[in-house]
Amino acid sequence: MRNFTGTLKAAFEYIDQELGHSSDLSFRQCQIGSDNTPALIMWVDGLINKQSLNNDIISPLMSGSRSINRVDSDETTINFISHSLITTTEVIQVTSYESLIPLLINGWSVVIIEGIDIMIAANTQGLETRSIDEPASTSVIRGPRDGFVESIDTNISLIRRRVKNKLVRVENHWIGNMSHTKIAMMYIFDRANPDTVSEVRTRLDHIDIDAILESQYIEDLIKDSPSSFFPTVYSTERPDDVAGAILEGRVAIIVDGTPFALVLPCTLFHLLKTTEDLYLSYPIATFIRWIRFIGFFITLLLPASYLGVLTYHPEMVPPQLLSSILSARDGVPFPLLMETLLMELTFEGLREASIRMPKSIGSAISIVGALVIGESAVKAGIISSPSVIIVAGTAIASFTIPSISLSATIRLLRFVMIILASFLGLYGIMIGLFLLGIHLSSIKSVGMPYLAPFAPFRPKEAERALVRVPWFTLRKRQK
Amino acid sequence: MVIRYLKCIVAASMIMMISGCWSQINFDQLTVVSAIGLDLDEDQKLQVSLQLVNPTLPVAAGGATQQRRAVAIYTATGHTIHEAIEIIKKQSKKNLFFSQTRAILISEKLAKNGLSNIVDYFWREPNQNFNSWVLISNSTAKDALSRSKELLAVSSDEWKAYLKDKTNNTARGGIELYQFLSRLNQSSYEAAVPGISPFASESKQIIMEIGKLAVFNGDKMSGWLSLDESRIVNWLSRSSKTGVIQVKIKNDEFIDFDLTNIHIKTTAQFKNNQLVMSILMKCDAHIKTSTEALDLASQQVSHTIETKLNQYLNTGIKHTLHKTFDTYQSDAVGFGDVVHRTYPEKWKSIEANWGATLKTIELAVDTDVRLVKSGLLINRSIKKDDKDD
Repeated sequence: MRNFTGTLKAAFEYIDQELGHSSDLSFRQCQIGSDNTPALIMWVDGLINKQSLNNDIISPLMSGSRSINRVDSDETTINFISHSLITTTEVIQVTSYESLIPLLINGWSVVIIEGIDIMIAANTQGLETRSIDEPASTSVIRGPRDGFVESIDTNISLIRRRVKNKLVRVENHWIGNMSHTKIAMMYIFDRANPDTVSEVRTRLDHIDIDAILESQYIEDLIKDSPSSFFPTVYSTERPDDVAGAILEGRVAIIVDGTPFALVLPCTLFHLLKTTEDLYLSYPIATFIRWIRFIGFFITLLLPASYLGVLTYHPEMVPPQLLSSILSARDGVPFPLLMETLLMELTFEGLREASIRMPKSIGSAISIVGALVIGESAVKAGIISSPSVIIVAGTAIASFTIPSISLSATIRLLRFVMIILASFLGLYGIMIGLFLLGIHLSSIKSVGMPYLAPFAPFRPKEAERALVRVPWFTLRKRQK
Repeated sequence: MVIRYLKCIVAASMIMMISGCWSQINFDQLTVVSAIGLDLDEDQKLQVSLQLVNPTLPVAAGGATQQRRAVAIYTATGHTIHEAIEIIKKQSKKNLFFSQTRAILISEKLAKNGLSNIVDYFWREPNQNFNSWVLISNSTAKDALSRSKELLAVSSDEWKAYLKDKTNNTARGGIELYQFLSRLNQSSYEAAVPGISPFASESKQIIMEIGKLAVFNGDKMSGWLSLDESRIVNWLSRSSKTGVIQVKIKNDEFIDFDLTNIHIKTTAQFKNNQLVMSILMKCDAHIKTSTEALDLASQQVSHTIETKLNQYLNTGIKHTLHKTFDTYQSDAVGFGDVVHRTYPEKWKSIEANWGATLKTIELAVDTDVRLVKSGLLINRSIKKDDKDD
């Protein structure tokens, strides 16, 4: 559709009106060629790199356009300017306003020459980005310290530099009717299952949403069994994590504007692994992984079993322990269930408060938490010390789960377990575990069962999920 | 769809609610019964005493400074244990928690009177500890529970710990409730229960001694064994594998031995319709103390010691078995079980008359003791090197 006439004034007025006389629309007028043809360069402030605009567009146009002659045809002129003068990485010739406006608001600069009905758009994108930092959500002792930033190009480059292979594929999508957020799908052509790739692609294509401000939007929209509490999409801030995932044949989704990338498919055992497992020596990594598995169950079951055992099966507690629990609970005003719920909720409150607190007064929370709850409440006889120990144990265990979303799910289900245990004791906990098992074995992540490789059972993968198999044995196996 | 979910939620919550916290225990009213004492009072009525634990903080947690009595004793009489316990519940106003009972004390008087009327309670009641240790009290059980003086605040804790301790060489094998109950009805292996008897009394408190065994014939106690005899019965019934004994070698010469790794092999054999039980005892002996100088370097001396020790054990075993079989008519070492295992067919005809058969058993005892550690190798103390200096 050609609706551009080549009049500078009309062009400017049209664009200015389209952008609602937005004040950040900037322009520069100049004259080019031997016959001083007026030309207009337009851009949106803040989206472009001014240095690149100067060096790659304005100065070549001014100094190198002497040789342009009005005698030449429009096409020759435009071709000369776009091919030989402008030195930006990308240059497009545009003939309609409809295709021009999106480029303009994406940080491109437009050159319009009086009397020529073709416009030149050059990529001068230059957004301010944060420097690459250590990711705040996942820190490691050994391993690379770089984390994703808010710029998608930087993020893709961080992954690309780890897997330097021609088989790495990047597919761009633009999602969000208002926000036009750039989203990139990354996978390794040979390794990723074509069905998975096409499934992810169709799911991304079907997204119809106003704006994408964080990858959680995408996660919610593309995840399987959306009503489930369990995360079926893996999110990470670490490029090495994503690189490892695509090497395993999984598909990564990187969203512009957020340092959190998504990886699909994702099973329960992916959520209990960390990248650091691969950087530590295998016996230690296996040991830590087992601690994490135990932590998973302790978070889920410790308060519930404490409550269930004491209210229904106190004979299971060793005599000395029972005696000391009984004496500690002597005079505590709340029943066991109330006490446990109260303490667990207090802990959740403390945790939330410490995240929201400004860092400068963050230490106040730990003082309040440790002194008021830990010391004074016990001394005042409002709560008993065993329940403080139980809550502390649960808290420690919950921090061993590497995935924030899985940890949150388990912490939530812990309350369900507490309620079940208060009704039916250990029997209730068993019912809860059965229901949990049924649910977990019924959900999938882009076709992969959530409990894979245990249900369905694949011995070799199961071994690798439980044990961090040393690299040297893997090499032998391949031969 | 929404209605369906609602129905599901209602149904699920009803399943929960209907149960109504079934078998829930009010934890805060819970009081642990640490020991049950069973007596026969003057009117020949059953007297039940319960030792209730008043929980105190462990000493490690600063509980030593707490000023409260560690246990409370409640006593009531009744025709049955249950009746008495119901009365005690009214006295103590607490939920009595029987699942962690440490010990059950039965007074000698009650035990001799027969236990058939009262064991029914233990068979029927589900909330009780089958692993509690049974003791026969020489004095009244109430006295033993309330006045006994032990290092631990709760005396029955101490008794349980002592009977359970497998590393203590002195400890005599105890019997737990589940074994005791079944042996009361079993003629092939009858109960032998450690007794607890007052040793010395200090003002209001009594120091208790656990050692002698009370031997049962059916559900009635027949009598006591001496300390030495009890030890041998414990070995033969395999409830103890160690022991400390003193052997008189010559006049005024005593050697204390520590016996370890005691292995007993019992075999039954019919020779011309005469039941012969052969017992082989193997063990390692360590010399602990000797009142005289021993020249262990000489083979003769060590041989003498071994022979003496073997003789001592041999006669001891024979004597003990004769006493239990003839005097008490009790098979406290489980010979009936051995015969049953070896001759299952013949056992059917002997079983009814096993008590009488016991007296006719011919015993063939063989002991094999090895002197392993003798303590000092040189005579008593170093003499030769001292002179050189």
